[in-house]
This record gives sequence, structure tokens and C-alpha cells, in this order.
Amino acid sequence: MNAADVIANEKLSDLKSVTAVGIDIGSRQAKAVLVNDRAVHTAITASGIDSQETADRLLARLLRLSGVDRSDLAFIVGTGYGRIALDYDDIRTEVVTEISCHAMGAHFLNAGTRTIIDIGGQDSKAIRVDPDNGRVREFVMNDKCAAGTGRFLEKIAELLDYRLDELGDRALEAEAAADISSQCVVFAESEVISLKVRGVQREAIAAGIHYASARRVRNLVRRVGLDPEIVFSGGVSNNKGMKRALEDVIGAPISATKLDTTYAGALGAAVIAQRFYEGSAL
Amino acid sequence: MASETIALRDDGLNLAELARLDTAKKARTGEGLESQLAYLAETRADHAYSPAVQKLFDLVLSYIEDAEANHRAGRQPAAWMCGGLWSPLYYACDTVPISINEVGRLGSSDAMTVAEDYFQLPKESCSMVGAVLGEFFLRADRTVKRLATYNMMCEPLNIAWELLRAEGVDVFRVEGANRPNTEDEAGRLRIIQDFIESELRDLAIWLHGRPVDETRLSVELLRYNRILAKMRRILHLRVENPLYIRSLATMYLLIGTGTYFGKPDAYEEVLDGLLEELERPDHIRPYPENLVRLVWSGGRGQEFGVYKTIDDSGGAVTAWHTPDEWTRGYREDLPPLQAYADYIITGRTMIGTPVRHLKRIEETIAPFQARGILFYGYVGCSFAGIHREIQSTHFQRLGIPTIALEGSFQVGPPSGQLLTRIRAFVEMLSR
Repeated sequence: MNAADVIANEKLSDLKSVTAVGIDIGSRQAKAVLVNDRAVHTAITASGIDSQETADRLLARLLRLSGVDRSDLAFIVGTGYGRIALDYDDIRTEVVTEISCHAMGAHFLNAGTRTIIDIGGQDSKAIRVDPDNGRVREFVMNDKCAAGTGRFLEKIAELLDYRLDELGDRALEAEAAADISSQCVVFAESEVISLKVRGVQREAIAAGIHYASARRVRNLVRRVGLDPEIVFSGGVSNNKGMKRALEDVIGAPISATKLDTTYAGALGAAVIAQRFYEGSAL
Repeated sequence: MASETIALRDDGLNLAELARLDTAKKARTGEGLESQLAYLAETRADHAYSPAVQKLFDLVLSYIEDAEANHRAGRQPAAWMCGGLWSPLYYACDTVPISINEVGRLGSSDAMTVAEDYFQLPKESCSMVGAVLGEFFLRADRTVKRLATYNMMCEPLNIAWELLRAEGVDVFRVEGANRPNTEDEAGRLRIIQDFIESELRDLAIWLHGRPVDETRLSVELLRYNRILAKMRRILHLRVENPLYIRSLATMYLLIGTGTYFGKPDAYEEVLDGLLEELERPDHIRPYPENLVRLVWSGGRGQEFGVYKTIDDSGGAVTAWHTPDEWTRGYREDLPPLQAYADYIITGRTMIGTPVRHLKRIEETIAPFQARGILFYGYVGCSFAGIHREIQSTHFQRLGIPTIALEGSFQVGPPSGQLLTRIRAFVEMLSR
């Protein structure tokens, strides 16, 4: 992809000529982005048990897609829960948290980003971003409860006999969302089963689950302060049902970007990698 | 009980020897125990340039086992102690204090299992209470079965002491008398002081069968004040040399002010050695220009990876608001027992409302160049969780960034999410 096709116009001139890679090893999916001032390339795969092996696979794919020689890679920044395991003998590597990387990535996709809702495989986060530079101003994480996370939605999809990638679409087909009162994964699962037994439409249950999850995320967002423009990132950001539920519950639109925001963390990591190569701070 | 504990190791290694093992060589202990010791071993190795820090870790790692062994051999009486308030009195009564908090900190992964299965402690209980209770039980057959506690600590701990009492431990409770208001009238304050004094007299008799020698107690209070003065000097020197003593080592240095790790002279030699090292102009350890200096407020925990993560991600804890009160010593213008009582009821770290701690925390921010505050507490301690929120909100309103961390007292590395929070906080504050 041409950089100009995906990067916010205001940020294009901030990309460096040097080629850098960001690798975001999440709990369910691993994403990687190769960037320089001309092009952006992306790769995605399921996170394996061995983070290094997963990263190697992503890196090989990026090199193949971009035609860049490995020796021309200046710097790699690893992020996500598997970041600690990344190590390359021939390429300089640093680790940065996914919180900083999502902020920077969202900033480069939409320069006006002020709030990020990041829902990943095992936790959700609300991040307030400085629109001047893409740095984190404040953040809050929810890792105490799995409700609304990718892992939770996966489980619910299984209970409703949907594929995970169709759960959000089916939720949008519901005439009305079922009322899911429980905010706890374990009880929510029981509630879903009860609703099924009572003959409630699967689509309505799916919609109810998305709204229940969105209400939890709303509480996180309130904590850091809701400040449009909002970017929705993380593995769940592709779920249209969740996007709709979040917009309804929060009462503000989620900004569109030209690149799938699943890659926001990896893109931010790649941008930070360029800066590290040039000796700049985060 | 078939659980593996330090006592049941079959390779003849004690804690100190385990921590000196090459970290690449796996010690044959439970995975969790090995993990805490690995952090200590790494910290020790990181300080290879500092003879004083090496001596500090010698003290840390030999503390409990030496105190127990000396007691068993009849060389030096010892008794367990909860909280660091009683050390001067213990030493004045020729008794080595063994901090029961330390047994949890250096405990094994089996401790929580014991707490849950044997003592039936609910899983959602405070992890510190579970770790301490379980580990004490695991070493009960070879340790001193005497424990003095302060009832003001917290109710879950008080329950734990009763559970230990039921196991045959001789538990002495120092009844608490908090100073509820700072504007008390003198007569009321005197009543509270008199009560604490009488409790201390009883504690002395429990410790060694006779009243405390007040001249001896005065000497111990002076020693404590002298040690705190050195500690303060070290902490201030650290501001300009923040990585010379890394965060975990500094935490242990502070813990030592409460017990001297059973060896007062050796502990003071460590402080003297550190002062000598820090005051040499050529002893500045390089640190990044944008290093993020932080305040640590709350429990000290045993998740040593938290301290390592702070240092490794470009931070350093330079100011401390923990149970180790290093900001002030005992009054020297009062009789020793009265000075002791005054010290306890005017404390600013362990007792009283969270609001009472705010000023103490605030005082450390500017002198220690802190850019943010980490509020740390344990999973299962709901009261401390509310304290953290109150304190965190107060400082955020002042424009000082804070983060509330909830950690575990269980053995093993911290969760990835906890480390992510810490790293992200340091990244957020780095410029």
C-alpha cells in the first residue's frame, strides 16, 4: 500500500525514509506493519505459543510483500503481551507497551484522535491521546473482567453456533437486543443459555451481549474522559455489532480510518521504531 | 504435609546460596520460590559494583534463617513481629525481631495452598494474609512460636494471628490506640500515650520476662534515629544518582530500617558503606536523560518484577511512602517509653485515614523530583483499594499523574497486565 493511501494526510510528512517494523503479539492475533515514507505493509496471523516464531513468520511475510531486503530493516519495536519474547540478533529491537503503540498508531491513522477504545483478546482499554503528538495522556485498563473481550465474544459465538467473524453482523440483524443483565462472563454465559432455552432469537442475544459489553467499556471511557474524535482499535474493532453498540451507548461516533484499526498497535510500534532508530525518544 | 518448603530442600542450599546461583541454572525448588530468588539474584548481580549492596543482600537472605537458628541454638532469643514498630523495644529486651511480613515475601508457592486448604481462607481474601499465614505454618516445626502483633494493622491480619494462636503460637497483641484527630486536646492525648506506654511495658515483660531497661531503650531509640538519618541521606543522594541503588534494592534497604535484618551493626555498616559509595563523585551510574522519577505509595509487595519493570522501562522509584517511616524518628526530649508512644500515635504511614497520608506523600514529590505516583496494594484488600482511589483522585486534581496498581503477594512473576500498566505509565511520563 502507498503510505498516502492509509496514513492521515497531516502525518505523512512525519514518516521517515528509514524502513522499520512494528510487531504486535496479542493474546489471540499477532499483527505486523512495515513502514517507511513511501509504503505501509501489513500482515496478520494467529498468535502461536512461541512469540518469536510467530514474529518470525510475520516478518518473513512482510519482507515478501514489500520486497524489502532484511538487511535494510533499521529497527523493530515489539508490542502486545508477547513483546517481551522478541529478540533479533541482526536487527535492533525495543519493546513498547501496546498502550503507547495504539495511541501513536491511531494518531497516524487519524491525526485528530483524542480517545481510543481498544478491545483485545483478553482485556479492554480506554486511552486519552494528545492530538498534537500521539502520546498517551491517560489510560485505564480493564483486565479484571473478561466481559466484552475477544475471548468472551468467542465463547458467546460458540454458544450461539456462530462463527466469531459473523457474530457482530448477526447482532446487527436483531430487531431488538435481548436484555443481558449480568456483567460477569460466567453469569453472562449462563444467561445466554437461559435465553436460548426460552426461545429468544440468537440475533437478539448476540445484540444484547454486544450492548452489555459496550456498557462496561463506556465506564472505562468515562474514567479517562470522552473526547471525540474516537478511534476503536484492537482485535474486536472489526466487529460491526460492537462498533454500533459502542456508538449507541457512548453517544458519539467512532471515526473511520483508511487502515483496519486492528493494525493500529503494530503501526504505532513501527512509527516509534523509526523514531528510536533516529535516536528520538518515544 | 508433603509440600515443598525451604526446610525440605534436599540439596543443602539456603536462601542466600540459592540467590547466588547462576540465574541460568535452575534451582531445584518450587517454581515460584525460584522466581523471587531469581529477581534477588539478578538485582544482586546488577549491583556487582557495590560492595554495600552485596552485603545488604547477604543480610536480607540470611535474616530469617539465622535468627531462627540462633534462637534454636540458644545463642540469641528471637520472636516474630508484625510491623516494624517494635524493633527498638525488641533489641532493648535482647530479642531479635523476625518480621512476619518477610516470611511471606520470601515464601514458597505452597503457602497460598496451605492458607486456602488448611486454614480455609477464602480465595478472595487478602493475598498478603494468605501468604504470611501459609508460610508461617509451613515452617512452624522449626521456627520460634512466639509472635507480637499490633492490633491496628488490619482485621484480616488479626484473624490470621488468631488462627496461628489456635495452632499453638504464643501471640501477644499490643492493643491499638489511634489518634483520631490532629487537634486532640492535651489531656486526651496523654491518656492515649499512657495506654500505649502500658502496652509497651507488657510487651517487654512478654519478650524477656522483666521490665525494659529504659536506659537501654533510649540507646535503641537513638540508634534508630541515627539509622534513619543515614537512610534519609542515602535517599536524597539517590535523587541525583537514581540507578546506583535500583528500586528493588532500595525497597529492601528501607525494609531494613524496621528490623535491621536481625543484625543492627551489620545493617548500619551497609548504610555507612552506601553513603561512602554514593558520596564519591565518580560513582554516578549512567541513567537516561528522560528518566522518570516516581513515588511509590502503599504496600511493598513481593512482586519483585514490578520494581525491575520500573527500572528497565526508564523509571526509578525515588520517593517512598510505605510502612517504613523514614521521614522522622523518635523524639529525644521525652522519656523513652513516652517517646515511643508519641511516635506510634503520630505515625503517618500505617495508621489513620488515607487523607492523613496525603501530606506525607505530597512532601516527597518535589524534593525527590517525582513526576508521578504509583499506588500499590494487594488483591483482596478492598479497604486499601478505596484508599488508593481517594489518594489517587486527590493528586490527579493537583495535576500529578497517578496509577493504582493491584498486585499479589503470591510467589511468582507479576501478571503481564500489571507490568503493561507500569511500563505504559512510565512511557506516558517520559519526555
